[in-house]
Amino acid sequence: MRDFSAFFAHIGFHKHLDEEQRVILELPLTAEVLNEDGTVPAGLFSTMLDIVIGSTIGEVLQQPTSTVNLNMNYFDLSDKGPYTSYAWVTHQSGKIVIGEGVVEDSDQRVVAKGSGTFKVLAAETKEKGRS
Amino acid sequence: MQSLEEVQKSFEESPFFDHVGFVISRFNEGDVLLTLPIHERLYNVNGTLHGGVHATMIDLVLGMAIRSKTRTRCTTMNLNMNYLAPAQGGEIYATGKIIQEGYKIVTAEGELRDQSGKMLAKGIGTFKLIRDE
Repeated sequence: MRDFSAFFAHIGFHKHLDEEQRVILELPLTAEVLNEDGTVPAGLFSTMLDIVIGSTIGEVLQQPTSTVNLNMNYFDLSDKGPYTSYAWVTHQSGKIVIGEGVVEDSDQRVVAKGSGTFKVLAAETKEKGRS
Repeated sequence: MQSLEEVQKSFEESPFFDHVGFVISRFNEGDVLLTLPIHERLYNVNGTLHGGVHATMIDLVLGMAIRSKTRTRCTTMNLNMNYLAPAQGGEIYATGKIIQEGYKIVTAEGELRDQSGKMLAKGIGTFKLIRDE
């Protein structure tokens, strides 16, 4: 996996590969990334899904990608972190790849799910992977 | 029912709102303009605005448009984002409008533009109104 972005660090994500070489994205919640009522901003899960699906595609193809579309469903935005996210590739056709991902809470309940369409960029554009 | 000022204040008091760096430029009933000065801390690995920021900004402006009109708290159920162009430097602006309002479910759409007016992203979201009863 390549280096992490400034926004990745700003939010406080952590990323690693598990024993099955899946990209695992983790978010240990801090007060500064919550809403004023203590709930989780949906944008946080959107960011997680964008990163984990894009990173997973980057890891599978060993090429960089850019997001074309993301469709996300949110099931529970109450604070039940820390959160973990993982994704998988569902389809590839030429330069277009479709992936899906989930965000799970500390009890491994799915709290958000998303699918996205990503465009594969030329390998020399940037290193593979994304965050 | 919350006043318009109270609704605006609740957004501005959100730690996450401040952490990303959003600014409310206009907050009228059903007419909201959200501004984001782009800082390097918001960049992805390609040196452009991270896609998660686009989605966060659209989600926020849709929620703001809904709450400014209904004065009722809401939670996002679904968001569908289309990314049209990358953003780098300067400011970007988000607007949102309600396209269907039911008693518990509201659908709204929003767009993100740069300083030249170029459209960067569009999103449509479904929100659940959190009513007391």
